Amino acid sequence: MLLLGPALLAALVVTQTFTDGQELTVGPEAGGVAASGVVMWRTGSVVATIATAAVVTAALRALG
Amino acid sequence: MATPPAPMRDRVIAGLRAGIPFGVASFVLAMSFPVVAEQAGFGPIAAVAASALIFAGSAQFTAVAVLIQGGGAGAAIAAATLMNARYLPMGIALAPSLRGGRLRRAIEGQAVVDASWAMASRGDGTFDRGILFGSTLALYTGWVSGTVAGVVAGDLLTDPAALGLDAIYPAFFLALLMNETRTARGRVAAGLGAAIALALTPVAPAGLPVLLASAAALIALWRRSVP
Repeated sequence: MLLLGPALLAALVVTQTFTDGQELTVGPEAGGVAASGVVMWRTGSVVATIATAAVVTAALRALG
Repeated sequence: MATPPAPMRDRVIAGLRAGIPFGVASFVLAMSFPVVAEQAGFGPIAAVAASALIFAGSAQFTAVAVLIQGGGAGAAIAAATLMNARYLPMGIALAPSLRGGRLRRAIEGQAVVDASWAMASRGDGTFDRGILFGSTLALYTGWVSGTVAGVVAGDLLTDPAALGLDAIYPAFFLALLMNETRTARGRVAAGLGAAIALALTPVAPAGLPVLLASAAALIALWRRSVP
């Protein structure tokens, strides 16, 4: 049962990042989530991680 | 393992502290809920009631999305239930760590959301009840007060997507995931879960890929470890 956590969380991350309804997509939020992963890895700060996801996604969307 | 566990009160406070960053994220995410729900005909009171009673972001946003697309109440409830079906395996994993009789354990089980479940997991198959309750308190406070803030200040949030708020949810789960992938087995489980969920997305209704990914990853790893 102890490996349910990683499998479940990873499934939630990818479905919420790469899907739109039942379609697989790679949009601005993929860039935002990837950037947030780097921030979490380097800093371990949850608030900075989540703020990065929103700011990078918004910036990519504004540019695109 | 030999040291006695800290008193319950200390662990609830520790859970509350650990839950605060996730509670802040829940607050921001919940602010967008009334804005989206309004398109499905939810008034301010209905939106706050949904957050207070359902207290499950993915199920709430899924139900509202079905209603906006013209689906009926039955379809919305079915989609939201499927989205929350992952709580079935999560509940089975958690149940032995709860206390008391069936009713008490069922009530304690209401404290489960993804983030508190993951934080309370000790990594050996057992869960810390104090951390579970403390972190859920932080998350619940953030979620419900964020929904209220969204009702009050929703006019400032006409387009949640333009602010990148839709990326908060996956980043929230990614932060939790990165605490769980320190071991090779954890990384294998995460990779399997992600691959299965993506492979099933085009063919299965929302919610089912996540449920099946977690179940399949468990079975695959169990079979590998049993010669």
